Amino acid sequence: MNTLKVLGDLYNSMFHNPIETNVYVEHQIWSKIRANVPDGYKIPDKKMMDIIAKFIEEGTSSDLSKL
Amino acid sequence: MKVLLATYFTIPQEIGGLWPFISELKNGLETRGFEVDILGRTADGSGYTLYNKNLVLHSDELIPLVQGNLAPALNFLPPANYELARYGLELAAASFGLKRYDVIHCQDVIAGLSLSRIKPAHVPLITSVHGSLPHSYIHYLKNNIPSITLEDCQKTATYRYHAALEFAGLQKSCLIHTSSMWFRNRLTSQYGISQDKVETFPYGLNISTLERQQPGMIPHVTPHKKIIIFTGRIVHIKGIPYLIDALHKLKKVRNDWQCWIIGDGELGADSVKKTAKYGLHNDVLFLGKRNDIFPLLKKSDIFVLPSLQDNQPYSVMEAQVAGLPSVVTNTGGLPEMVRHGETGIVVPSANSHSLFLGIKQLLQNDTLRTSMGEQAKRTGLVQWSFHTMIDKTIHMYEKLLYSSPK
Repeated sequence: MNTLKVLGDLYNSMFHNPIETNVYVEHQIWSKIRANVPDGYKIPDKKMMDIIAKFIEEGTSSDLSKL
Repeated sequence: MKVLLATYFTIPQEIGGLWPFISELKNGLETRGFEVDILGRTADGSGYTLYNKNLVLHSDELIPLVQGNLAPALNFLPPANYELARYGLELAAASFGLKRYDVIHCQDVIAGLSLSRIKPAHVPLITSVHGSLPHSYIHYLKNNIPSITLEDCQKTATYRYHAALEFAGLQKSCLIHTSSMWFRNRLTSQYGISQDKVETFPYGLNISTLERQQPGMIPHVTPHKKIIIFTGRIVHIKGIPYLIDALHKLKKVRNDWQCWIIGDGELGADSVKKTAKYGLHNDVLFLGKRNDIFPLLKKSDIFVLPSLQDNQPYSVMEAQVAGLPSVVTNTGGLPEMVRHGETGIVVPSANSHSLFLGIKQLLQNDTLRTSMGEQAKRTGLVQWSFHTMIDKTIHMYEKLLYSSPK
């Protein structure tokens, strides 16, 4: 397989708060990923981060229906 | 129909029941004409694999960019590597592609959570929940810090993180499968999951797979001695210290037995030491991990499982179809598996004296032991029918595909 390394910044649209990482990635792999993820897919999963934060703060006794 | 069986954990696994379950489920579905792929993390944890297609995507291709972009967000998470691996699974699944599947059947809540973010909207996602993430963490802590209390475990950020994953993974699944009513009730009460969303039916045992196991070295046993057998991981959750204490009591009143402990785990060395301290080194044999469990069960007389918590362990199912009466604890799904007084004896958990009395009762009464073993085999062959499990799994898929929006 021919490999082509590109700067990860090319895939910034998949991240909520992209950072200049200077990480190089395989173009073929990441392009395929970007083409296959659903519209609006981003990392991190913000809703999940909120749930994790709430659980860590309050344990599992919080009102789960609000999450 | 094309089905993806997916797990966050490594495959194939050498220990535990997850891999046997997944591989048997794949075989069972394929005999009914289904096409089945298996997605998980590689056995060495270095990447992700579409196992049966021999496709591997190394973490190095995915994680550095995710880690670089998530660094600030990960700071507050205790197990940051879990989060990275979870996003890695999402990206690997996207790379392998999910559009070809009719059903995605996840084998843990983390995979359910991950793939729910990647799957096409029209593809239903089912999660079979085989164990509790936060409770597994408690038992991990207990293995390493025996004196830690339950309350202190529950206060840790890592415990709460695992509970969050479990809650969210359950929420994201169209349908949840549990193998026991105990686990179903725990999930619905703890996380507010609707009863309508949960299907409960037991795992099945493929008897022909068990029958193919070749016998290995069988320890010499004096003819009049009965064999008490334990099979499973030697870890805190299985309650091994209580078994050794119970055998210590048993040795004081009876000498007509030998105990085989099959398996390995974190408490293995301590258990051997404790056995020697009690002078039981000729009575309790640690046979390690074996690939001939069914032949060993068939040479045995009484199965014992002193778990502190368990869902629906394969060890009990295997012992029952081998024709053994069981002595098990009244925890988790075990009382659903062993009918007290009919197929075995159910005793309180974390109680070596009750365990001792249960084993002694079966040891001293040949008629009771034999009749319970025969009954265990009769009911086990029906209750743990592999074909029934496959029927119910297919019914679960069809229910989602043909009767409801995703």
